[in-house]
This record gives sequence, C-alpha cells and structure tokens, in this order.
Amino acid sequence: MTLPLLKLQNITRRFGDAIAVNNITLEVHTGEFFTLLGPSGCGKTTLLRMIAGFDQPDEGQILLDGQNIVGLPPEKRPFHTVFQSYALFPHLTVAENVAFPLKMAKREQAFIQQRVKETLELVHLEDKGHRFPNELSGGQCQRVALARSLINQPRLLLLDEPTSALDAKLREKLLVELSSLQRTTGITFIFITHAQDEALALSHRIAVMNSGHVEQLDEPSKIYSYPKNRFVANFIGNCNLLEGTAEGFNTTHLQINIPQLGEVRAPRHEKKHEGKGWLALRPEHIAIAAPEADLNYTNTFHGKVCDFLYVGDVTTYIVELDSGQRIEALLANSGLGSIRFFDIGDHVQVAWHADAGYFLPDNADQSSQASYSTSASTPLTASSRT
Amino acid sequence: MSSAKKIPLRLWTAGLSVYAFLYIPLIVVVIFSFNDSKLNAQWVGFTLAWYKKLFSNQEMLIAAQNSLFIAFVSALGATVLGTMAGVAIHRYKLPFLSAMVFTPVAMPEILLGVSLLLFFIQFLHLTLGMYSIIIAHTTFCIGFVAIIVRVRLQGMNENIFEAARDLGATPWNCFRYIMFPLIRPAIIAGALMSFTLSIDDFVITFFMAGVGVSTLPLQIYSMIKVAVTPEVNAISTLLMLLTLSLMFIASRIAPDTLKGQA
Amino acid sequence: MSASSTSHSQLPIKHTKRKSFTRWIISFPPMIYMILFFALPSLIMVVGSFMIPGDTGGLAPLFPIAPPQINAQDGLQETGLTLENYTTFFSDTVFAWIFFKSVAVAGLTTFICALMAYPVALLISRHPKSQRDLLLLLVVLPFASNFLVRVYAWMIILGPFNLLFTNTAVIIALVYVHLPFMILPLYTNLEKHDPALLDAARDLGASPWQTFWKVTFPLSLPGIFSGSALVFIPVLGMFAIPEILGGKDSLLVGNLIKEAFLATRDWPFGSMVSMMLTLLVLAIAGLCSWLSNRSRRLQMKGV
Repeated sequence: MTLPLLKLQNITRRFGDAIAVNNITLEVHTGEFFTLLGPSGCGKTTLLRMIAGFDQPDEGQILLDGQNIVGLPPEKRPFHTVFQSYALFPHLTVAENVAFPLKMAKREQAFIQQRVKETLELVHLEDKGHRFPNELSGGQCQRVALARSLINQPRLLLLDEPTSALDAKLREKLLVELSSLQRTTGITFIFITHAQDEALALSHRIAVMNSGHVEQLDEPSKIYSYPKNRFVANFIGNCNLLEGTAEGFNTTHLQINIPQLGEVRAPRHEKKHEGKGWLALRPEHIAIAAPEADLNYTNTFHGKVCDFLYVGDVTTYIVELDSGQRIEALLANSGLGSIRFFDIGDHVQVAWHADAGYFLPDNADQSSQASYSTSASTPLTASSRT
Repeated sequence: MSSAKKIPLRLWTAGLSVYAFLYIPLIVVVIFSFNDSKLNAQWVGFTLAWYKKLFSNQEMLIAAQNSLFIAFVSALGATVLGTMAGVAIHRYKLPFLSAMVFTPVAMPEILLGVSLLLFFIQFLHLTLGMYSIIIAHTTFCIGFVAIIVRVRLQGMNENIFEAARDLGATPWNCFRYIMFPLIRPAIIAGALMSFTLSIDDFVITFFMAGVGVSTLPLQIYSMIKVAVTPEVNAISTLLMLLTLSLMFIASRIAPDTLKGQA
Repeated sequence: MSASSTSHSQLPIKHTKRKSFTRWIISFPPMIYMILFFALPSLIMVVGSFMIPGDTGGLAPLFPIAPPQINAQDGLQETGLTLENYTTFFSDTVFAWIFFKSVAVAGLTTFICALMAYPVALLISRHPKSQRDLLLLLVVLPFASNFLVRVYAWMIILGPFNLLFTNTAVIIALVYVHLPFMILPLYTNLEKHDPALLDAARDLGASPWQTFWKVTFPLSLPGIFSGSALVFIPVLGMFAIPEILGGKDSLLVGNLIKEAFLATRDWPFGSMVSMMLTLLVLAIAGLCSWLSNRSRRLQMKGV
C-alpha cells in the first residue's frame, strides 16, 4: 500500500473558546490537485497555516510520509506557500526573489542562475528578472510568487486564495496556468479557495469545509451531483432545496411527498432512504416551457415567472408555482439574436426528469461531524493517476 | 481634482501669518549673528567677529566636543536597543516592554531628569558626569527609535517574513536577508533622530551634568541667563545648521519614516 | 525508521525553545535597560517622596547604620517613611496655587496653539498631495534649532517691546515652542477627511462657513485632542521658559521641582511634587485620550 504524501490526523486548533479547526482527518496523495473549499471563516486558512508550519495544532498529527511533523519549523518542511498577498520581498528583484529558496539552501551560484532562468521561463517572466515587485502588475506578481515557490521543487505547494486579488479575466488566465503548471511539474498542490467554480474546474479532489470541519470530500463531479448535505448542496452551485418526506421506493426511484407540490419521483442512490429530508434539484436540470408545451417529464408543475437573471449565455428564471413554492430553472440562451423566452408574469410550466435531483435525508446533516476517510469516495491514489 | 479648488483668501492670510510667526524669530537670530554690534537692537554692519570669538572660546569648544561625543554614544546605544525593542514589540506584542519604552517619550522631561538624579546620587552614590548624561539620553531616545522602527514594520506585509521562513530561511537568515534590509532606513532615521535629540537636549542634561561637564545647550543656557550677546546668535546659527543638515540626511534616507513618526 | 521517528518527536520541543530564545534575545536587553534606568529610578522617586531630607540635602538614609536619633524639637523619629511631604503640600495654598496656575498656563497655551494650528493644518490639507510634504516640512523645520535658541530668539524680539520677564512673554514662547505638536496631529486628521464630504455639504446647501463648523470641525476633534495632550503635558513640566523669560510670578510646577532639587536640595519634597506632577500628567493624558476616543466613537455612530 502506498503511503499518502500528507496525512492530517484528528487535527484540532482552538483560538480561545472558538474552534477554528475541529478534528479534521484527511489524506493528500502525491501528484494530486487537492482543494480546500469553504466560506471565509471555515478554518481553511488555519488548516493551511498548520500544514505550512506557521501554526501548530492543539491536537492531532500532521504526517509527512508517515512521520509526524508537528512542531517542525516552516523552513524545515519541504512545502512552500503562495500567499494571498503574494508576499514578495520588496527590496529584491524578481530574479532575487525567485532565487531566495536556493540561496537559503546554499546552492552554488551557477546552479541558481540556471534554475532561476528556467523557472522564470516556466511562468513566462523571463524578461522581468531585473524588475522590482512594485514595478509589476498583480498577475505578474502572482506568477513571481509561484515561480519562487516552485524553484526548488517542493513536495507540496500550498496556495492560499491565489486569485482573490485578480480581476475576472486575469483570474481565468491564472487558473489555466495553475492547472498546466501542476501537470508539467507534477508537484502536489493544496489549493485554498472560497470560489466553488475554481475548485470544480481545477481539482482532482475537493474537501468542502464549514465551521471547522470537512462536510464532504470527493471528486468535483461527485460533490456537485451528489452533495452529502444541504450545506454542500447550497455552497456548490445553485440548488433548489425542497423539504419533503420519502415515503416509498422501488429499485431505482424514491417516492417523495413534498407538501408544497405533492408526490415527486427522484432517483434512489442508497439502500436506505426514508423519512424526512430535502430534495436537491439543480436549476439546469429543470426544464421551463410554455404551459401548452408537451414536456414528457415525470414531475411537471405550473406557475408564473416572477423574476429572471439574464447573464448572457444563460438566463435563470425564478418561477412561482401555483402552490406558492419558488423554483429556479436555467435556460440556455441558444436562440440567435436577442430572444428571451419568457417575461415576468408569463405562465409557464417547469418539469424535471425522475432521474434528476438528489434526496438528502435529514440525518446527513448530523453525520457531517464524522471524519471522512478517503475510502468512502473513489480514492485517487498516485498509482491510479499515473 | 477637488484639491485644486480655490483656497479662500482668509485661510491663506491666517496660514501664512502662522508660518511667519514660526520663522521670523529664527531669522532674527541668524541676522544678528552677523551684526557688527554688541546689541541685538539694530543692524549696524556685517561681521564674522562673533564666529571668530566663538571659535576661540575654549569652554565652548570643549562643550561642543562633549555634545558630539555624548550624542554619538547615546545614539549608538539607543539605536541598537530601540531597534530591538521596536522589533520585539511589533513581533510579540509585549505590553510591558512597550509601556517601559514609550512612557519616557510622553512624559515631561523633567521627571526623567530628577528621577535619574535621585537614582545616581542617592541610590548608587555616584558622582554625575559624562556617563550619566549618556545613559539618560539613551533612555529617552530608545523610545523614539522604537517608534520609528515599529511604524516601518507596521507598514509592511507581515506575510513576507513568513514567506522567507517558508522558503527555507532560518530565523537569523530571515532577519539578515529580509527584515534588516527593509528596516534599515528606519534604523538610520532613528539613529539620526537620536543624535539630534541628544545634541539638542537641555532639560535632562541640566539635571544629569555634574560639575565640570558641559554641553552646548548648557553653555547657551548659562550665557543667556547672564546676558544677550551676539555670540549666542552665532552658536545658535551653527547649531541650527548642524541639526538642519542631519534632518536633511534623514529625509533623504527615509522620507516615509520621518513622516510616519509625526 | 525508529531512529528518525524519535528525532522527529523531539522537534516540537526544539521549535518552541528556539522561538522563545529569539524572543528573549531581542526583548531582554532593552527591557533590562529600561527597568534599570527608567522603572527603578521612578520607583525610587515614589519612595523618596515619602522620606525626609538628609542633613546635607538629598534623602536621609532609610535604614541608618547609627541608631535612630530622636529629634529634640518635636520628638519624632528622623528616619522611616512619612506622609509629611504630602501634608506640607496640601496644607499650604501656595503649592495648590502653582499647580492651578500651571494648569491654567498650559490650558491657555494649548488653546492658542489650537487656534494658530488650525489655519496652517487646513491650508496644508487643502493643497494638492505633491505640495503637502514641503509645507509640512516648513512646519517641522524650526525644530532644527535648539529649544533654547527658540526661546532666546524671543528675548531679542520682545526686549524692545518691554515684554521681557512677563507672563505674556512666557505664554508666547510656550506657544512658539509647542505649536508644531498641535499642527502635526491636526493635519494628520484633516488629511484623512474625504473631500467629497465638503462637496456633499455644499451640494446640500451649506455655506462654506457652515460646512466648516458642521463638518470639518467636529470631524477634526480627535486630532485636536491628541494634539492637546502633546502640548499640555510638556508645558506642565517646563522650567526653562519661565526662568529665562518670566518674572517672579511666572513660576510653574517645573520650577518648583527644579528649585527643590537643585536650590533648596529638599529632595523628598521635590520627589513629592514630581509625583503630583506625574499624577496630573496621567490624568490629562487619560482625559485627552478619552475625549479623543469619544469624539471618534460619536462620529462612528453618526455615520
């Protein structure tokens, strides 16, 4: 069995009475792009600082190749951090900044020069070596910080919300670059973000964090399609959450009674699915059509458009059903020209397939405190990737 | 550009009068230092006689020498200790140390003067001398250096020190390659400021100077207590030139730290 | 494997040790220095204020080697701690009067400083950013001359007006010496004001004068209060200006302390007055920071 590169075992960190990180256990494998995703204050940065060595856990162990490194100072850990604020040394040039780790490791000058050149090329800054950080743009600073952290090939690269200070266009560019850097260098990345789209786009696995613990740890598509509880369903993407009771099932489907709507059919994912819970429905799985259209779907309801959000490629319609329940439905603006399909007040029908949706039993919320072992989801080990 | 808006005439007049109030007395001192008359009353003619007289005044020269020596040693001590204190207070948030270091800056000088007088004579049974002046000057300069260093550190991204450690620097290397180069302007500004404060100090020196040790401010004090002579104008002008050039150097080296200190 | 794991398990201890080592090595020297030459002397002064003067001035030894002598006149022991200095202070109105006068002089100086500092600070803050540094430098520049030189300059100027050795001369010099201490914090405050506030006030119908009193002035109060502390406190301890420029009735607390230490050599009494001055300074500093915080808080609530 291959050892995980990094294993966090029952890590807890308190600040006074507040518990920032609550008994977290997880593994990160070599070559993985691992993301810690959560709202601000969920403890992800505290966790990262403990991995980097700036902070020490109150309880638990941090195992690198199976050896506890709690208490080891940051300079002794083969990890590097890319800080949110870049943290470039303002009195050193770009090349000197990038050379810093090698200089600290007392490598010979010729080697340092060679590596600096290569690394700057890697981040497309080969012509900026003599500049000072304050002469660079935000995106360039970010790439210097990356180069500086990658130059002596750390075992692990920790990225603390690296895109938060960039505008939308630069952000997208950096994400593409990060993804390709990770692939070309093969270095394990732990990426911290509060932006679910970044997490979904880049990661091999995501740990969704909330108030100090991991809510769900899985591959992006699994997290998106099968959220473990209401928090995850709400935090990742948009979601309609309908409260109801699972009353019966056959081999493939559940029969759910939703007071506002009546009987609804949803796919059955686990053996036991009974009792109260929430039906999670993604807006893109909900069809919206004129009332007279023949939508041959299992679950069909009538209502009125009460609001919409046009964002270019798609429009989100908020439909108030006759029962008063509101449902969000997504419609691609695939028509040419400035066609918008519905307006406020239009009568419409919304419908979804019996295979759409995911039922979250109420007890899923309670079980979220439990530690997540990687075996529960599809493990993405080094061997399976390479 | 709202700042380019017209400034009312009344404000100009009032503001400029205050500037005049600040400068006229000093200009008068400088002008009369070149006046060929024993009285500071009316302009008679240009002379350098007062400067010549000054440079042949043995007491004055010794006092100047003392002043420079005291300022040099206490600035050195205050810079080392004040930098340590500034870094320590910023890094470890030590309320006791900051109270100890910053209180002498805020207190009336006379209190430090008399308490040190009690301390040296009554407690340690020592005779005052050059050493007691140096120690006293260092005591109040430490606070100023610490303030300047701390302001500089506060203006810096805290993450860069963590980044240095993260990239393999030991605490010492982090200080040597990152922190020290970054706070060097503040250290130099603090040193120059200590030097200026020491050379200009009158109140504390007044209590700390035993018999026989004199400094330039003490000389000026004893001269103006006796009589107003143009010789005082001359030494005043020279002192002005000295501190002015020190301030100029400081502003060249660390323009932002001087401002931040204000 | 087992060897390396034991070396790792020792690391936490090593790490914390090193952290506190760095901390000690940089905080210890300044700490020791300040304890020795600031805290200890201050403590001695506190004790000294409860002692009695020695035969040749200074303090009488607290624990004499010779057996305590009985003072023939009033039969009291000549050693030990006593409240005598404090009772002297409170039994003679002359001392209370000097304290009161010092506070009045300091208050008047502070008021005049604020009055003169306002136009300058406002003028600088209304200038474009590029010119502000120079104007500010011009305020600080007189500091380049020695304190005594600045006082001496007024001897030359006030001489012909027959104002030398009067309280007016003392106030003028006190204002002159402390004015920058008021201008700088006031400017720092005014500079932070959002110019849009003035535009908004004008836009909503206020005259320039109303805008000043209803917007600029209330917002600048924290700056005025912190400047006041910087002026008021040093004035209280001032002895040179009254001595050089003042008359017989111009003596302040500072002069009282200086006389006690250097002329009459009654050190316990001087220590006691210093203690009273310290208490006064603490009260003033506390009041100023309270006022400054309160006005800042009120502004926050208003927003």
